[in-house]
Amino acid sequence: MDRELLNDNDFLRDSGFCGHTACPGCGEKILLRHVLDVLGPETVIAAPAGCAAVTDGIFPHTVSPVPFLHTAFGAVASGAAGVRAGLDMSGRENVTVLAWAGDGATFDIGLGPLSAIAERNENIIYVCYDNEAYMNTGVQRSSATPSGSWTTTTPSGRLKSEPKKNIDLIMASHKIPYVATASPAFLDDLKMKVAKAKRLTGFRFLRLFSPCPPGWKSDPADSITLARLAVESNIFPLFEIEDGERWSLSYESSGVPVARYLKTQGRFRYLSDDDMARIQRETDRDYNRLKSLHQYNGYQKIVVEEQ
Amino acid sequence: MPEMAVSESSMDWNKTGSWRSSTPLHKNITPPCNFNCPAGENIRGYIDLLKDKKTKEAFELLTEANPFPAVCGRVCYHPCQASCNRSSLDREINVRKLERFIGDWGMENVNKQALPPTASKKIAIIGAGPAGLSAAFYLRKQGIAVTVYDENSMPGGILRYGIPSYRLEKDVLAKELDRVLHGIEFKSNMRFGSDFDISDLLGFDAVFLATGAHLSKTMNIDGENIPEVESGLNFLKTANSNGSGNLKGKEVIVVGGGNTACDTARSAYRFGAKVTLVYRRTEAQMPAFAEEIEQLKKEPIKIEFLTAPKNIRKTDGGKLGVTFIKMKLGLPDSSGRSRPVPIADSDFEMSVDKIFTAIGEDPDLSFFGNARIKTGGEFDFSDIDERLKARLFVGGDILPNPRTVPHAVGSGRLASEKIAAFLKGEVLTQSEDIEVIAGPGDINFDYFSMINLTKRGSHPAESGFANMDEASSEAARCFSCGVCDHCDNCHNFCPDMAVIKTSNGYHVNLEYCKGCGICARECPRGSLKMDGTE
Ligand SMILES: Cc1cc2nc3c(=O)[nH]c(=O)nc-3n(C[C@H](O)[C@H](O)[C@H](O)COP(=O)(O)OP(=O)(O)OC[C@H]3O[C@@H](n4cnc5c(N)ncnc54)[C@H](O)[C@@H]3O)c2cc1C
Ligand SMILES: Cc1ncc(C[n+]2csc(CCOP(=O)(O)OP(=O)(O)O)c2C)c(N)n1
Ligand code: SF4
Ligand code: SF4
Ligand SMILES: [Mg+2]
Repeated sequence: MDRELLNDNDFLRDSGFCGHTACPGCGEKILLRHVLDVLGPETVIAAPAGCAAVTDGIFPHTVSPVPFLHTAFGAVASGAAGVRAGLDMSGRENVTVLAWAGDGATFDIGLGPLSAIAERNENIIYVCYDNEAYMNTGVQRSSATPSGSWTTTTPSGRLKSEPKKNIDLIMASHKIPYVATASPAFLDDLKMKVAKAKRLTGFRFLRLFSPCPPGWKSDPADSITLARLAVESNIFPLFEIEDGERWSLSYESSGVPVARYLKTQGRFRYLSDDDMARIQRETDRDYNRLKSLHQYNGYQKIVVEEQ
Repeated sequence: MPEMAVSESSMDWNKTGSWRSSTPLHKNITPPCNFNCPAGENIRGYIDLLKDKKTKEAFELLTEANPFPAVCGRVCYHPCQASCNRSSLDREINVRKLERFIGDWGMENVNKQALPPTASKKIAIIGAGPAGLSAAFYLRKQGIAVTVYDENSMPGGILRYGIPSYRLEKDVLAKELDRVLHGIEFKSNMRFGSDFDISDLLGFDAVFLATGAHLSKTMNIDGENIPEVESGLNFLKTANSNGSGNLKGKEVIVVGGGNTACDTARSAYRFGAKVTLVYRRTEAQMPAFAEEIEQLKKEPIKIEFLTAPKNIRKTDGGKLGVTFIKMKLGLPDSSGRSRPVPIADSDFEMSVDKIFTAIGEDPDLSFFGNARIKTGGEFDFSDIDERLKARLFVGGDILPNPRTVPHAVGSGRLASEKIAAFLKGEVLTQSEDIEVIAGPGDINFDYFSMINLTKRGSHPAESGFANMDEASSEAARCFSCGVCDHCDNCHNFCPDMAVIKTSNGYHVNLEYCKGCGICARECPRGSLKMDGTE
């Protein structure tokens, strides 16, 4: 791939991304620096309550090299659409609007506004950094939490039994131009997808895998290793959906057993071998469906001519 | 517009480095291939250059340590390859072929390397084998005048007169020697001790003695002096000098288990003989290189292990009658190998035409009278003429190092360094640092296994790479163990952007590094580690 995409833009290097208050090994900050690297300085961020908003800085300080608008927890999609409208009205269509939201804000509380803004195909890039729980308030379960996971609201003995919500399918159902998943362990792929999203217009949705050492009870040093294992075990496959219809897998994994991934994190330590076998079966099933959708291209855009 | 709170200053004041309990440190460690190369080549370094198809630069880097890449790419036993970390994943890097590729490139593209003019210092070297010539090459490169003496008419030592041409082509050797000897005076047919002596050496500032080990060990049995009983080394020398040695239809016994024995047996077979090799221990104890044994076993040569000759007689028909005795393995001897013990009443007879002995060689130091190798392996200078003693350096097969071409090269280069220091009135000091070697545990195999799984299998020993693409794709398999190759992982994966790229590497900004350890975990090659301090 294009090596250029991996070299930090000067604006990021000079902005002083250092000094933020994210925990050691936080995935969200690795993701943010590389997404901003691709989007460049002509970007405005809108972020709801959550770790990203809190760790960005302590008022009146910020590490963000671009304007960073804090919105209410459930309102980031609407907030971002508002920023878009304002920019467009003042003739700054070239500026990218980036909604930067956690899974709680995306899968749960913000899902209504998210659906509305996506359905109107508002011209924004919406990134969900998915750390699979409400981390900033102390690890409560969300509908993005995978089944079998420990959280403070699904303690041992009552581990989460419901499966993770398939938000990608929900977003694809809006027939938006671009839906994709990406991982910090695969930076080439990640940056290529952000660049592709930037080239498109309309509502673009990216879900990025975001390791959280304190919430996942993992070694901070392992954040990238376990992100890689998530992809290689098909727990977090990398794919794209264009126009809600054209599916394609971005990477052929080596298919390592899910147990290798699960064992890197304390949140899965209550799982029995049977539980892991079940997760393996579910993962295989989901991955096989994804493989059958790969290169499925049945969609043709029907352009409605205005009279 | 309602009023809105705005943050306008940075978080620079928040020195998150104070959170850290362990600190990342960029520090290259030694790749096992480099560590295990007896010639001291920077193998990892030239593989890195070959990967980018920079063959010229690779040749230059390689020949900084070893002037004989084409030779070594053919006859070196490549301990580098045996220690290669990539063997933990699929298959070691084929350093032999890469070295050969570089050597062959050199033969085609480099004939006369530029040399500085010689200054007033003059060095004499006795012995034109790989040790003597390596010393000569590196001394001459520093502008020191060198004269090399050898008893033979041509240079090369064992490379020419021992190793058969089916393993090392004579034209390859000739081309490489030509380049190495450029700017060096070579005096042929000069045997030290008979054609010249110490008085002829007094005009030199230093003397390097590298006459090898050419005295074949004797078996101490009856009949050893019959003319049809000859040393294998002698046979090889004749065969290599004029290609003669017709043994068509002759029955030949080769005694021994080292490289000389293998080469003698294989050469005799090529001259038409029916060959039996007898060795008094088992295959596992054979001192020959494993590859040599492999090749030997592929040929129609009979091998009798645990067998030793007891006596030899000339029979009436002109043949040799040989009595052998069978052996069994006993307790280990001083070499650590099991001692062969004769089995009573196990004698048997054979009738053959010729016997070649190859049970080991000793250095011939008769020109120094009593001078000997001391038990610790050091050369005993005590009896040597005072006029020479202080200026005499010794290396190669004379010393009881492992007797291999790369050891001889390394020994010759070391001698050149010692001599260069001596000429300046100094003594060469060697670094006392303990080298840290990159083992498989230093490799993050995720970066190699998941991305690039290849089939297991062994490398064919002969032949080179067909072209540059083949060589560079083999080079691209190298992990660059222990040595940063600027992959940017540490820089890219830091959540705090605390690993800064500089013009010559990376620098960790300790004011902000929180010590999460991702950078070290994601270093594919162990050149960045958490040092655990602070
Ligand atoms: C048959 C055989 C096969 C081998 N195969 C391999 C192999 O495949 N790979 C490998 O790594 N190693 C191999 N070796 C070992 C390797 O060749 C030697 O370790 C190496 O050549 C030693 O180099 P040297 O310069 O010390 O001595 P030599 O190569 O022996 O050179 C010494 C030179 O000095 C000359 N000389 C001796 N006495 C005098 C004197 N008094 N005056 C003037 N000149 C003198 C000799 O004739 C010779 O030319 C083999 C050895 C033998 C015998
Ligand atoms: C309406 C509202 N409800 C609850 C909260 C408290 N709150 C702040 S952040 C947060 C969790 C955010 O979770 P997620 O969106 O997954 O982001 P993360 O912290 O995991 O990055 C919650 C519940 C709030 N700020 N606003
Ligand atoms: S709690 Fe998790 S997501 Fe939040 S800053 Fe820490 S590591 Fe990052
Ligand atoms: S992988 Fe490369 S650097 Fe490592 S031991 Fe093998 S040849 Fe040497
Ligand atoms: Mg979350």
